[in-house]
Amino acid sequence: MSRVDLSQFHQTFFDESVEGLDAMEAALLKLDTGDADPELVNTIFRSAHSIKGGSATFGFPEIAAFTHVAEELLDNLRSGKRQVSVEIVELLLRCVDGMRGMLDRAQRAEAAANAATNALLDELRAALGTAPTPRVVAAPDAGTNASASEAGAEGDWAIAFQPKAQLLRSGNDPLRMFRELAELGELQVSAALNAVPSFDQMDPEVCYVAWDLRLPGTTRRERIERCSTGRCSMATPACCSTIPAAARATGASPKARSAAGATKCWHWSRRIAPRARGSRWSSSARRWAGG
Amino acid sequence: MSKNILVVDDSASMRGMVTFTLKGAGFAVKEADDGMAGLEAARGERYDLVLADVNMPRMDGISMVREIRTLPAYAGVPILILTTESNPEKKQEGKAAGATGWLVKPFDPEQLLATVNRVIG
Repeated sequence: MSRVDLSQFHQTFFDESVEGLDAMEAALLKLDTGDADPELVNTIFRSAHSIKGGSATFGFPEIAAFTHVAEELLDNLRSGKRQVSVEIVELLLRCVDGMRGMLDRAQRAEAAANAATNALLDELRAALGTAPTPRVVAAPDAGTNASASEAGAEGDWAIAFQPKAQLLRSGNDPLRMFRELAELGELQVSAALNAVPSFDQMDPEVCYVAWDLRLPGTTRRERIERCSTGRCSMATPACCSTIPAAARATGASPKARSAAGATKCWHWSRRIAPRARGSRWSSSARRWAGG
Repeated sequence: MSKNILVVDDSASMRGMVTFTLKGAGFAVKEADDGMAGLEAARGERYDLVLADVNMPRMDGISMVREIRTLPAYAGVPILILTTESNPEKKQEGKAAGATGWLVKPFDPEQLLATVNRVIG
């Protein structure tokens, strides 16, 4: 079977997402402060949940990432961990507006996230009591590789590491690089396992995994770039490639990913042991469990 | 004779993608847009596989799975949950309701087909 063109479903996704946002807004405006009305909150949660799932599936990772954080807050309301307040409702209404803008820009094939939505994400995280969004600007050279995106004056280094498929064949070990990075500062790693095939289809010499790494912003960039997988450093184009965030979210195979600057970072902050373990993304590659 | 799959998801775009993928691989597909419609479809016909979203209006996926499992025709039919929710409690809840597998969104059509083929191919 030839590869399915997911763009044929985009308009349906956009249309139903707009309807979902309308439903979210209407339900938010009906919410009273205090204990959340379960039916209203479920309506709001379901809409956000659908938008998150659809945007991740159809290649809009910024919308998925934004909606995921909003969904966390909604889940807190749904479970009773938080009570509804005027401030929470007002924030969520602004998030609905923010998502409308993101969908609109995505429909025009523009970057969905912008400074305003990043600021909203910071507010959501503050409401959740989690870390603010690390600021990331475009990677400097699309011809090189996944190396660290510029963190700017503040914020962590966000590193999208997408090795080429032949990395392992040439005697390189990504975990060696992680160990070297971990010596530079507190390293956080998330693995994307979307491209890992079933066991019977797997070539043991092919690298199917991509990683997102985060180091404190105080780490010097040149030290990061000297870290090596064995025969290649992070700045060596032969071993690595950049991936656009959209390609990662769709689970495109390593060969299908194009070399382009990583312009955004994922916000996973899960710590791992020196041996890289899958993050929650490992669930997206879960196979038939057989009961 | 082609295998028959019931796809239950309140998202038209997700149903569209799943149905297009499965039909392209030779499966027959019936769609339902919420848990109640999915249960009605299951009562009307025995499908070879049920793919069910969790968060749906009228009846959520877990409740639908639980109800489908009371139907004698579905004693041995595989039911896969398709959802973005990957926490262990939800998976346990799904398993307790009678789900036999879990595929977490986002998944691409190739992953979907690989899983479906492993289950009923």
